This record gives sequence, structure tokens and C-alpha cells, in this order.
Amino acid sequence: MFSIRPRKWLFAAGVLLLGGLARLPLEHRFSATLHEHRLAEEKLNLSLRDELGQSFFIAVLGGFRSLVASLVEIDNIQAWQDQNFAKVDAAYALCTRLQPRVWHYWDWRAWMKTHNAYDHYKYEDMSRPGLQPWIRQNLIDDGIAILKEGMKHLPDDFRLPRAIAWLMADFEKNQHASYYEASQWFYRAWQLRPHYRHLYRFHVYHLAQAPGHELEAWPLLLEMYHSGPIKSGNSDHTPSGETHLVRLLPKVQAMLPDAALPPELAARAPAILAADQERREAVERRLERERAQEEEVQEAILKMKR
Amino acid sequence: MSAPASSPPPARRHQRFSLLRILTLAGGTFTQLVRMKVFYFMALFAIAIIAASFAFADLQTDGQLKLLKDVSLASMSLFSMLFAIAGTALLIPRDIEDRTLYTILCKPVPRLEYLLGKLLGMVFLIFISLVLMNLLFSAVLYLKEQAVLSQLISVLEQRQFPSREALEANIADVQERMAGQGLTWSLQNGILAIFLKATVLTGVTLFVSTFASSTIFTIMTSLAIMVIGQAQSIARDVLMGPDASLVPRIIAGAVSLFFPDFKNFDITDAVIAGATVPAVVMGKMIGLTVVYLTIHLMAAYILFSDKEL
Repeated sequence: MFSIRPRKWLFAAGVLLLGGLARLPLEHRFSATLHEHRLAEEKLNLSLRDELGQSFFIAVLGGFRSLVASLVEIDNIQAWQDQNFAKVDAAYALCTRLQPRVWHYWDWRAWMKTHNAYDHYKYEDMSRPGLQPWIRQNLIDDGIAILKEGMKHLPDDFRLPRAIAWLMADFEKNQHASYYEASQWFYRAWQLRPHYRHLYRFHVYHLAQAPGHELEAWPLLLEMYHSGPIKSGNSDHTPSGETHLVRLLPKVQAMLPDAALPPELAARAPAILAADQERREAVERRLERERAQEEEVQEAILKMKR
Repeated sequence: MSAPASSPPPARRHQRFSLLRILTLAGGTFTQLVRMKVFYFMALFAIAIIAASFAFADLQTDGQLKLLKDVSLASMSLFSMLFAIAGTALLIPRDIEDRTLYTILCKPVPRLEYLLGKLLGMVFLIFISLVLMNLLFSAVLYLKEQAVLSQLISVLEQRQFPSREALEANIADVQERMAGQGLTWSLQNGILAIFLKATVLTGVTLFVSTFASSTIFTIMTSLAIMVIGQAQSIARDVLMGPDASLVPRIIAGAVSLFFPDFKNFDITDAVIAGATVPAVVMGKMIGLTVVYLTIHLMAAYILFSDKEL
């Protein structure tokens, strides 16, 4: 180290300094390019250090953020198996903070609340049954809020609005479910993935069931019917679409007396309605069976707790 | 009658700069490193990714593929950085110890060519290592992706859906999801970014080794530069931001000017998540790598040209 003359040291430092001055704007612009293409990592919050621990935090600083997030998720499996959903949520919250642009973590964090924790709390603390619907609705609302938060980081991902759409269409679970809201979320998802025509069709099906939006849905359903033969290529003509047209007809005719089904469909309408009625009754029977089983389980749990 | 004496071949003029000499030195460096049995690490890498591909089958399928990519790319990154630091730190001291350096430099080989040859040999070794790791990783990921996809489709086909349309929508969704999570060109770009980062680190370590008094000093200093380089962007933000006072700005300026920004190469998280990397981004990253290499090589040459051996 000392065999080099000071003059050379100065030269080398000068090269590094001038090189640094030259590359600084390049680096800055390149960082901006990475951010623009959503390739750069999001800025770290230093409070993560306490949550992750020293070694994981160093790994995160060293560029192994994705691996650390995977390890946090794996570490979380035990909490999930123990049905410790507070811990599960904390772990997934950490994952979403580490990798906010990974859809999987937002989806799973919401899923854990709206499905796994929801089912768990159905049978938890039965001594206060009045509290249960409130807890469960909170879980659904939290899940939807998580998905909306995820959309801020992943504005181009169709799966998050689609997950919200399914929750808004779930009248068994969600007290705030709304066909109209669901149809709008499906529409938003379809706009992000226009080649997924089924998202568009789900938008129309849900719009057709939304009270007050029958006249909006009617031309869309007709357009789908006329888009080509059923089950062919890019055609939106589907058996579900036909069923919605037939079901919607009386409501539309009340507002537009001239409205009519295409002749070929009108001929099949009674059969379609009968099949639809049969399907609905089967669903109702299944739901009743499930409700009865649920009550049995609840009573058994209450007895055990007493 | 004796044959007329053939005239001696005309003496080749010594070239001040010869690519052939650099390539010869690079080849020698590569052979020297291979003889150190560095490729044994491949066994460890294979165990790591095969274990990752079978481990945690409880995870959702996306999670399994993500874990496999996480472990594999993290291993590639770690191995390449270790190669870059440890391998490069050994080069000059080993040549001095073996007296190879004197044999080379007593010939008309400029010291810049010697440094370039060492650098290229090391970079070539990292490249070959990454290619081997990438081949193994790609094969395992492809097989895993196919297994997961067929498993998911058969599960979907056994489930009851309200309509055929709903089943087809679910299958299309799964196929697209798997296509984004499996083997993609973006993943290859991520691996290229790992290679470029290791190349810059090789340049930095070579620069340190030109003035270092021991191998351990070179390794520790290069590791420190790597860690500081991971946070260089924070210093740059302070330097270019409007709010900082004088002292933090001077410190941030020193860090920004003297240390490379290694965070600019960390795109692996994004590609693991399924992001696509435009060619222009990779082009700029390669350009930035060339700038770093040029700066560090120039500084290394200035010090090495004056070094008493």
C-alpha cells in the first residue's frame, strides 16, 4: 500500500471523483427508469428492523427481500395451523410491506381474513353469539380494504379487483354484498385484461341482477346473444347469458313494453326457466342443509363449553 | 550442395495494445481459478434448488414456484458475489506468490493488459458459473411448473362449477398465472442483472487488490464497499434532495461519488414477482456496468502502474 507514490493516490482519487461526477446523473436517471417500469424495490421502512430481526433485516438490505418474504410466509404456516389468525395477519402484513408488488401476498392476506379466519370465528367464542356476525363482517370489510390497498401498488393487476368482485357478490358471507358493486369490480378487472371475456360476461350477469339496472343490462345481454353461435371462438353467447335474458324479460317489459326475446330463444324460454328454477331450488336445499349442519355444530360447541 | 539458408521470419512489431495478449491472460486466469476447484459449489447449488423444489408442498402453488425462484436466484447472487470478491482478491497475491506476475511483467506486457486479462478471466468464470446454475435452475423450474400446472388442472376438472364457462375461465386463469410464474425471459434478464452486478464487484475488488497489503484486507474492504453500495441510493437522494444541511450533504456526496450503486442491479425481486423487463432497461444496465468498469479499471491501473512488486 505504501509502495505507491502519493501523486498516484491523488490521480486515482481524481479518477474516482470525476468518474463519480460523470456517473451520478446516469445512476439517478437509471434509478428513475427502474421506478418507472416498477422494477426497483420500494423504499424500506426502518421500523421493519424490529419486526424482522437483525439478520433478516441485513438480508433485506443485501437485496434478498423476496427470499425473506418467502421465509416469513413459511414461518407463518405454523400460526395458520394453530389458527392464530392475528399472527397470520401480522406475518402477511409484513410480507406485503416487504414486497408490495407481489399479488400473492395481498391476495392471501385478504383470503386468510375473508375465508379462513371467517370460518374459524364462526365457531370461536360461541358464548357471545351476538358478536359473531359483527366480527365476521369486520373480517370481510378488512379483506376488501386489504385488496383495495394492494390495488394502489398493483394498479394493473386484474386479480385484485376480481377478488373484490367475488366478495361483493357473496351474499352468504357479506352483509354489504351488492350485485351492482360486484358488476363494477368485474368491469374494472376486465378493463385490465380485455382478452378475458369471461370477466366482461360476469360484469353483465351481475349487472342484470342489480335492482334498478335492468335496462342497462338488457342491451348488453342481447349484444352478447347476437355475438355468434353459442360456445364458438370469441362469442359471448353463453347458456348463462340466455338464462339472464329470459329471467330479465318480465322486469324489462314492465318498463319497455316492446322488449322481446329473440324468437329462437323465446321458443326455449320455458325450458330455460324450468332448468333455472330447478338449479335455484337445488342451491337453496344445499344452503338449508349447510345451515342446519352449522347450527348442530354450534350447539355441540356450546354444550361442550358449558 | 547445401540448401540456401532460409531467411529468418521478419520480426513482428511489438504492439502497444494487444487483444490477443489480454485473451491469453484471461484464459490463464480462468484455468488458474478452475484448478482451485471452484466448480464444486455446483453440488451445493444443486442440493439447494432440488430441496427448494420439493420443500413446503403445503404452500399454495404460486408460493412453491416463488420459493424455488427465491432460493435459486438468491444462491446465484450469493455465489457470484462471493466468486467476484474472493476469487479476484486472490488473483494478484497468488501471482506474486507463484512468481507468475514477474514472468509476465518482465515481458513487454503492459500492466493495463495484465489487469484487463485478470478481470476478463474472472468475469468469464462468473459467466460460466451462472450459465451452469441457470441451466440447472431452468430445468428444475420447468419440470416443477409443468407438474404444478397439470396438478391444478386435474383438481379444477374434478371440482363442480356452475357452468362449463366457469371451469374454462378458471383453467385459463391458472394457465396464465403459471405462465407468469414459470420460466420466462424476464427471469433470464434477472440472472443477467446478477451477472452484471458481480462484474462491477469484480472491478471494485480488482481496484482494491492493486493497493491492498493482504488478501483478507481486499476481501473485507470489498465486502464493505458492497454493503455501502447497497445503500448508495439513499446517500444520492440526500445529496440531490433539497432538504439536507451541509455536513450530511458532504458525507452523502462522498458516498455517492466513490461507491457504486448496487441497488440499481437488484431487479430479481421484480422478475420473481412476474414483472417484464424491457430491453432498453437491460441495455442501460449494461451501459452503466461498462461505465463502472472503466472508472475502476482506470483507477486500478494508475495505482498498479506505480506499484513496486
